[in-house]
Amino acid sequence: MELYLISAIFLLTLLLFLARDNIYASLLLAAIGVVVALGAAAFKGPIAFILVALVYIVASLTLVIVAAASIGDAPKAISMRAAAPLALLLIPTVLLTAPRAEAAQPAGFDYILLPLLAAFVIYALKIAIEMTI
Amino acid sequence: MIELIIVVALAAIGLAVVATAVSLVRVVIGAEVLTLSAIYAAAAYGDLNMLAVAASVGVVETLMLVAMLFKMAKEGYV
Repeated sequence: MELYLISAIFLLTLLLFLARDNIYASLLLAAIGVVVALGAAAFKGPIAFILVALVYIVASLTLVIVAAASIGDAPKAISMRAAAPLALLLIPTVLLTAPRAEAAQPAGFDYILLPLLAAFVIYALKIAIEMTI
Repeated sequence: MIELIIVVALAAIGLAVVATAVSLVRVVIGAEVLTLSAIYAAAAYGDLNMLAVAASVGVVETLMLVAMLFKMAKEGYV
């Protein structure tokens, strides 16, 4: 399961670096989000898939609007710099010193979080509107 | 063990997308992949409440980055 997950993530990342258009890259972000949501559903059940996939589909559709609004501004969206593969050096450093952690069991959901998170999102929306005008 | 590799690989992918970006939309996409690594870490090592909070913070992070992008576009930086 995890090997399929990590191979799908690397395939989608390769497509993300090959995509020249920002709109295609935003849609590939939704694909990566759904793949990781499948991985999260292996730990926490179908509610985790719904949460993560919903967040990333909404995020990628928002970014599609932004990318379509700024189309034609930059003819080339990415440029291969030498600093980019240096981030992959994080992986062998983790392999050296990683403790073995067990997977947590699915637990119940605390419903007091719903009004708190709704108030947080509405407050952040207010801040975003105040920031853009 | 392989969950930790996936978390760190997603973080490295996000950093690489930000490091190769020319347009600011790619920077936002790299930040989204970084948040995705945090959400996967919450799913693997935390409980369901932590995952719900991480997903909500992901929504707010998208909102703030897009608001910043519109603000910079109005001032002519994008």
